[in-house]
Amino acid sequence: MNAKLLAGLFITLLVIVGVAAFYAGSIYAGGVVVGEAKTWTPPEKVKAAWIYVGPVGDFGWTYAHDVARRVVATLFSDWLETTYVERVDENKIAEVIDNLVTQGYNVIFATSFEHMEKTYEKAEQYPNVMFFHCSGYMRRPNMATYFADLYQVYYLNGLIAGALTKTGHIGYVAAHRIPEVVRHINAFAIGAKEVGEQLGKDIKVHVIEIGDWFNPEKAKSAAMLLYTQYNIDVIAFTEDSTAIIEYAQEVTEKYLRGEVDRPLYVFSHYSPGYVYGPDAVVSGQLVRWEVIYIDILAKIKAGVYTPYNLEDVDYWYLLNTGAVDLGAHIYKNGSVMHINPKFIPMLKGIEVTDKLTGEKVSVYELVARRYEMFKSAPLLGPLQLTATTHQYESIDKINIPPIDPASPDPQSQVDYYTGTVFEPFTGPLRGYNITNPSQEVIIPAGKRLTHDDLWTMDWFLSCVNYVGKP
Amino acid sequence: MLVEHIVVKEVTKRFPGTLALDKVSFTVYRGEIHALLGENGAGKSTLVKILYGIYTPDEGEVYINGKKLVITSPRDAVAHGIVLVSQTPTLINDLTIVENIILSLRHYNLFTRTRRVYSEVYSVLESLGLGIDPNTEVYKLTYTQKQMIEIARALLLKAKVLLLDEATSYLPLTEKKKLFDFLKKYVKKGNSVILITHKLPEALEISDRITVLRKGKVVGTVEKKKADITVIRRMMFGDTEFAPEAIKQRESIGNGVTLFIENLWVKGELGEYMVRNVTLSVRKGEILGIAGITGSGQIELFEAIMGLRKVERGIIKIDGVDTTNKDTGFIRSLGVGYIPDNPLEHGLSIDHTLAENIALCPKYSSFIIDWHAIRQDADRLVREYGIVTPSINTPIKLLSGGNLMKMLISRELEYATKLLVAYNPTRGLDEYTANKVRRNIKEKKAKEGLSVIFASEDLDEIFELSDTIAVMNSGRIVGVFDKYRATRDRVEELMVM
Amino acid sequence: MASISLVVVKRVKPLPSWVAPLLSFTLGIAVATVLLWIVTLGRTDPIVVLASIGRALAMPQLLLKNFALLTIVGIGLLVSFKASVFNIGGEGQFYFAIIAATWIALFSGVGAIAIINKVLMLVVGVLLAGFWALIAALPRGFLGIDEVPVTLLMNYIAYYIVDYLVFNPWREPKYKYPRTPTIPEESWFIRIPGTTGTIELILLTVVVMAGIWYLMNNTRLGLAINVMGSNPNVLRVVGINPSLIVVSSLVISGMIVGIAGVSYLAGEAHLITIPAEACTPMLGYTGILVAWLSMLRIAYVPVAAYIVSALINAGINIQIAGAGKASVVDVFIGTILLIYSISVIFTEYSVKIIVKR
Repeated sequence: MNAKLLAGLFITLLVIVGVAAFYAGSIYAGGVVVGEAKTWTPPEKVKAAWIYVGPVGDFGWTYAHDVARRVVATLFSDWLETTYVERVDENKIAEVIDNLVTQGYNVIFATSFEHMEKTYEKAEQYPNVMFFHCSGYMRRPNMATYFADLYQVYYLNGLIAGALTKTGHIGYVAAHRIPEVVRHINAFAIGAKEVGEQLGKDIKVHVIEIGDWFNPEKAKSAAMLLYTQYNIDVIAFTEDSTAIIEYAQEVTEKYLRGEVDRPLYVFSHYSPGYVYGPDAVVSGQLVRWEVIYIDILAKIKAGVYTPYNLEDVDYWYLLNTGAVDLGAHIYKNGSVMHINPKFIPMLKGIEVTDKLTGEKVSVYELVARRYEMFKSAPLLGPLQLTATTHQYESIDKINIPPIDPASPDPQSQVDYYTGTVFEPFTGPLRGYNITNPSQEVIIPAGKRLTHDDLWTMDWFLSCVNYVGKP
Repeated sequence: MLVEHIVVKEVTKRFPGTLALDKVSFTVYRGEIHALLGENGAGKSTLVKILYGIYTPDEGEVYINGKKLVITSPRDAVAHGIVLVSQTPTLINDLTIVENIILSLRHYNLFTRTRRVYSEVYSVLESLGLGIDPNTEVYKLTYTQKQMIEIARALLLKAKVLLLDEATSYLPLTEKKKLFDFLKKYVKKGNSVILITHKLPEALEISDRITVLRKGKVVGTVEKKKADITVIRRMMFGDTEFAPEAIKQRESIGNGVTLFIENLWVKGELGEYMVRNVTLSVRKGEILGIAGITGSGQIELFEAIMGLRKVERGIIKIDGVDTTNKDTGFIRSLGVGYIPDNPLEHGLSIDHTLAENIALCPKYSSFIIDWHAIRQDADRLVREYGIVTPSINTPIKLLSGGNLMKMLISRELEYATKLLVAYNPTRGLDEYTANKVRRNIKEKKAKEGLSVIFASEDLDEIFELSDTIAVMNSGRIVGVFDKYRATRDRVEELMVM
Repeated sequence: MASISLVVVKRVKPLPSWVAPLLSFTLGIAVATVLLWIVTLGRTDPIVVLASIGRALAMPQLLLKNFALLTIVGIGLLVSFKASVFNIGGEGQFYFAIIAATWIALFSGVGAIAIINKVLMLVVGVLLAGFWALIAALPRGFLGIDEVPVTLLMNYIAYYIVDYLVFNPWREPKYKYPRTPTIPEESWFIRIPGTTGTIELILLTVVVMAGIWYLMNNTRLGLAINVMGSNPNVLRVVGINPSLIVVSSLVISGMIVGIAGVSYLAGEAHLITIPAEACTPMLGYTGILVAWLSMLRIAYVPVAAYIVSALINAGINIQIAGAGKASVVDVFIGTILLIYSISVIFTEYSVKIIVKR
């Protein structure tokens, strides 16, 4: 075969494809298009695809999303068809979306922050496909955002950590120093400090950033470094494998055999980690993405969500919605083990003051009270659904005006809690800017941080010691 | 009584574009030294490569000791007692002689202890008249020694038939004599030798019978007693007029000095001085021949002239320009052509076409190559020098050795305007072509005032071509003669002194 | 006594050069499919796998970006491979071009000025990529230090430099996510609607192909690079400094790869994410495969690039179809490469079965 001919053929092909695609692209867009009028008929069959950054077998973030996918796929099996593509990072997401759309997928969940810009570009390119991006902030008429945040749970974990630590040194292995993780670290530190200082401990939270969402080796060696060099005995983490739990279990077993001087208690992350460390896992964060996915898909099927009205859809789900929970294990019957029973007696035996009421209670009781406060916030749920209503979340309570100011009716005299009764991120708080540690951050007493403050958090609490990135 | 040892019947071998062997038949008897003669590309090498299993014949049969055999690999050939020794040694430089031999011999295996082999190797080397310690690393050996090791290896392989493909071409006279004596003894034991050579006197001296090939066909086989040089020459070249017609060159030597070398010291590969305090000058239009046994420092001297080897001390000037330790590109740009000692390794890129090899030379192309002009030049050179090639766009690895040499010589001779530096300029060429090359050199010298410095292992060539003869021995120039005053005896004496 | 032996014989005439790639591609897919079917105990449906590959091959509009980028990188690497200089450092050169282009786009102040921004991104990107290649080229050319480990290790150095820059001075200020801000939209290459490619990328591909074809076939430098690969001694004797040829081939190679880097940034990524080692599109490595499959012939580079980019896409399709994991593609690429390496030998040699009596 003539080499030059072949080369010529290819260049011609390139040009033809380019020109043809130019016109084809403007006609073809995927999804169900009903003219220009933007009238929308909900698809007969919803074909939803999930794009994961990690492997579904990570038993962390991606696993949790995939569990949720299987929940909705089973629940809505009569009209929902699902698929997923795993290990998709930023450089592959565009191709993955192209392929999904050409295969007729009309709802696409991009489940990692890194996917944001590319998903946004693709949403522009395929205006009739609905995109849902997890953890981001870029929205358009056919691209919504959603997130189930764990900071309240981290705070609860922090309370327990503050009670359990003997050395006062607590470790934290972070994936990245992004606002989400920073928020979690701070919430955890706030909790630890609240209990720890009452017990006379000088709480320090040592943070190592590993730079990866899923990297068992790095996570383990970071935990090891913290344990051996920073004298920690409790650790929490944001990384999608079970490596740290397994390491903590190993250390704690040694401690129980008397081989080392201190244990390493751990809070499992994202997926139920209790089984990987029955002696070391105290509690942890659980997530139920299905709460959000059921809501989204049901609304798509009902014609509520269309590719033209997602611009303000922004789920920000906390403990009150059930999308997240405190715990490290789910029993066969579906109930949650909030705290490893092994630790309950110990926690019941440590007494502290509830700073809201001034009562003396056990740490176990304190955790239960706070949990209850986060859990029951009946007015908060609807505010957490749209971008335009997030600003109201930080209002803890309002009072409605009386019908007759002269003789106020009973309801006008009670507090209407729109937010939670208790918010960990309430002043006074002291910290320092992450990029410029010499710059102090002071949250005045009584100030509740707003949704935006939480979203862009770029400061560490003063008891947080950023060790660095190995 | 004559016993047929090897019989080749009607063997035909085709290569793209050429018929290398055309129904070739010949017989080698037990106990004879059989010479294969023929001009370049006659098919001698192809024939022995078929016997050695490197090629398989397209048609025809080979019988060994009366049995029909299909030899499909050198291993096969060795198993039948046939071993080929070619003109390029294939030893691994970093290993010792013994280690090299262990590697190549199948009856030794991974567990053979070197000490056992040592004594075997030693005795074989002894029988060849070579007093080298078998534990010497190969890189320390001279070409001659390496070539002898190759022959020793063949003997250790228990060769019954020794194929010498120009293996003796570059051996110095004394070594060659020793080897020939050995071969005569060797065939007395019922072994046979097939010897390929260019040198008629050599063939006449040692062989029992001579087979001449021309253009892939057997012209005939003659017994030594009935052969003389004229008969054989006619067989080799057919009716081509053959006469080293003495070119009555007008003595065209000018006064200007083209190449001037003073007190030159150059180190060799091993760090020893190979050129010692050499002072020479070549005038415009002069041909200086350097006589000397191989390894006397000729190569190092030429490489120093070309800027390929560092000059330790001394001065080289070409046409008045100081070129001591200058860049080769600069030296060449002065109009210096160069035929290196190992043309295939240093002169040509065999993976590339004839046209590309020509285009490499800066004379023929600036940064952008004018392929049109190059093709015209290439076509002309092919015509003028009778280079046999399917086309100028064929990779030259498909060309025979002689044609490669022609191609190199033609390119360099075309390129050289001031000076040609040539090492063995006619090596591998048949006598007809060699003469033509010599004539071309002389013509160019006479017409364009080209100066030439060349070295040759062939004293005849030195005497025929040179205006001035310098004798080099152990890195020193031990004598410089005007062509007409030099005597062969005196030159030979100085060479080996 | 009869014995049968296998004999490898050099072919009088080598098989046509397209036989090996074609054979390895078809046979590779077949073998890999069967292999997967066996390894997964029949869970991987061969039909689904083949359909996914077919679908990928038949959708050039989705392959355009990878195809063009791989063509550029493949051609870049080919320039060095031709000289027997094995530039494994495509990744580093790719990222250095990205570093330069990102700087131009974000911090030089010309990022939003039409035409000038893209020209500068290309020029500076290509120069910096060439510079990165030069660092490996100089010791290879003048000291003879093996370029393979050097270029390979320099990939990691480049990754870490990118990591440092993005993690510290270039980090996007708003969310502090470990990535740079998005480069201004004015500096983006213009997407060809309906495809993954951009207009500039296609133009650059054509220019690179034509330019390198001209360089290799019509200039002395190209010829010298070719000869360098088979016999550097000749260059010395002819008066061309082999060191300079080595250096130029590696630098040209790096510069071409740099073009791909800039195109990737401006046409696709629009920002740098770290860790680079994990976020890289791996074109510097995949390009080696492309160059190799092309048998170092410029005309075949696009063919190899098309096949490889189709296989990458097929991997996504296989996952969407639920027939396997992302790593399925690696099995395919590996098998094809293996069969290719074997079949190349048989284009020059043939096996004969000989029965001896």
